Amino acid sequence: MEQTKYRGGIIIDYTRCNGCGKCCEVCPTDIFNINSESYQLTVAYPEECWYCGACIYDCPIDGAIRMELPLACL
Amino acid sequence: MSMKDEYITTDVLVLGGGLAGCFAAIKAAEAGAKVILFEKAEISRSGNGATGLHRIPLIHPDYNHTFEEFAKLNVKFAADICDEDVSYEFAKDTMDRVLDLENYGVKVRNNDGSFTFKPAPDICPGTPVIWGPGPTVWHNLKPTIAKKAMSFPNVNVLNRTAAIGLLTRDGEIGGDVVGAIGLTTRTGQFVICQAKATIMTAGGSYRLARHKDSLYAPTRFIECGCPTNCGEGIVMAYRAGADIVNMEFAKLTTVWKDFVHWGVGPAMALLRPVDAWGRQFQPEPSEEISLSGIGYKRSMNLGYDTLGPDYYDVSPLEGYPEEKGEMQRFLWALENESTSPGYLLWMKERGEDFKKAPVEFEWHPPYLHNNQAGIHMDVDGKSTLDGLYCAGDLTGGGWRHSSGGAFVFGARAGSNAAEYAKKAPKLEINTEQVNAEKERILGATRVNPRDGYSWIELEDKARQIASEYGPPYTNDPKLERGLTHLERIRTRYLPQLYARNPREMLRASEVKAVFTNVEAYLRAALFRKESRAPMASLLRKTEYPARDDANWLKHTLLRYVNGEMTLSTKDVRRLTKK
Repeated sequence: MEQTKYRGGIIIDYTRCNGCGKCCEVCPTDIFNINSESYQLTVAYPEECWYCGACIYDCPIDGAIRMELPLACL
Repeated sequence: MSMKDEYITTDVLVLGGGLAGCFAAIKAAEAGAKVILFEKAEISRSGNGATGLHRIPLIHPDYNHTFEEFAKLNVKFAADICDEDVSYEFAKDTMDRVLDLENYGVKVRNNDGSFTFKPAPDICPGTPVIWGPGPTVWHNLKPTIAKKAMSFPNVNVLNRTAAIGLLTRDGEIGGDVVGAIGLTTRTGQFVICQAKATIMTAGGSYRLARHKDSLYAPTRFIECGCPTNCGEGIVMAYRAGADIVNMEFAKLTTVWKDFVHWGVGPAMALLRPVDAWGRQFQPEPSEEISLSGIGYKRSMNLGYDTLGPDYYDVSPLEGYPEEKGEMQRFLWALENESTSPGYLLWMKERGEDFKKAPVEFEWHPPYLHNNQAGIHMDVDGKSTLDGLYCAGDLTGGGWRHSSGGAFVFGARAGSNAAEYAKKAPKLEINTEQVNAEKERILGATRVNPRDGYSWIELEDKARQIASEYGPPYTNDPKLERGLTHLERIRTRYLPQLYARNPREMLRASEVKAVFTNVEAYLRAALFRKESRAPMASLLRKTEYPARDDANWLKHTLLRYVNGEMTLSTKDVRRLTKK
């Protein structure tokens, strides 16, 4: 059975992300994960995002990471 | 999960690297102490100030109030449940801490050397505080302070290490605090730190009651404050035997409608909350409360019934107080507050424009954050246990001082802990206590997930009980019923909590803290036989509708005695005439 897919959260633009891992380093609620083999960065725990924007502030690349609010907030 | 424990020793151990923890580390290091700091997240972006501040309290007779006046105002807005000495000593130190910030590289003045004073109804009505000089951006205030703390060779920050329990002399409740045990959140390793003095700065709790969307996965962790903070600091101090006060007075906050982040927008807009017909909220005739209190209370009264919608009308800002450009200042603050990206996105997506029309708001359910509820702290930033200092959002006994409280008492706790450490006897940690603390977490790793309950389910059940039975509007039978339910869940289901990995081991520790805080919240509310309305809080009991100063102008005091939560009262402290 496929899991329900929710909109919202932190969205990474993989065409811009350079995989530096800064977001993963600073996130207050530790929602990111970097795969130890492929080094692929993912939002592993989207439901534990505080929407504080630390990852966006500290990302060295413009537009590589952005935020979308869940429908409940819209 | 079977990694070898790490043992370390230090003079001063700081538990939590938020604003208070950073100041504590800096001042302890300046006094020459060897400092270790446990940070659950990563110190440059952790705690309630993670991504910014827009204003800082600064009390000075040249600008606003004498220290005595400020302390008196604090007591008034706290509905008299406030240690006046703490408010007074706080006011005295604010200028020094602002100068510290300036030295650390935070731009706090305008180019001509002046400060910008603006109202902050959420800190102290009628007491202007300083706002950042635009266009300076304070998003990086936290990294700046963290960098200062890390610049000392005698400060060692352990990121992704969460404190899970305090260690006491001979493992006894009420004994001197001799260190703490931490959990490395990404590996599951335990770190046992022996310290001559320990400073608890682990933050308040935003996971006490349910918020209306807390069951829905995408909004579970959208809380008014950092959801990493769930009151473990209060619970650790409680379990070690420290005095915990006024847990019935959880905080209530207004937040933007459907986006439950606390911040400058909701705070400033309390200057003029209006109903659907544009009428400004009025206090109930029997009560003397502040304007922002009216906002808090009115929004609460309307929150779940049919009388809404309620709005913030910020149009008076256009000419408030006298000068022009106030609206721009407000916009500046919105853009500089912690969590601004979310705010600004919320406004854009919903088409809310406070310059054109009032903005809709709602209230956030009770949480624990630097007001009456928390660890009872004295003017030295010390708890009632020897060897244990505290500062920041988890301290109780008085009116809130926001970031300023974290700076002032973080600094005091840091220097006093360093002095204490110079004279403290070397006390051994108790192995049995270490093992018992580890077992509180490891037990969950042995529960088979197929037969167990996740941290999410258990935490939500405890928060459901807090919401359904606890303050602000409650009564004794209701509180007793809530406690019965909590005990049933705690004894029957909490032992079935499972943890499959280090992250869930951390959550296991947090959920246990949530249960203890909910119990404290209900028990303290049951114990207090009156109603009282501090500015950002409320206890309204059906059978005791009036404030009763003759019997209840006191802190409610919680202590952990023989495995039981015991209740009594403690006098509030007042300044004595010199």
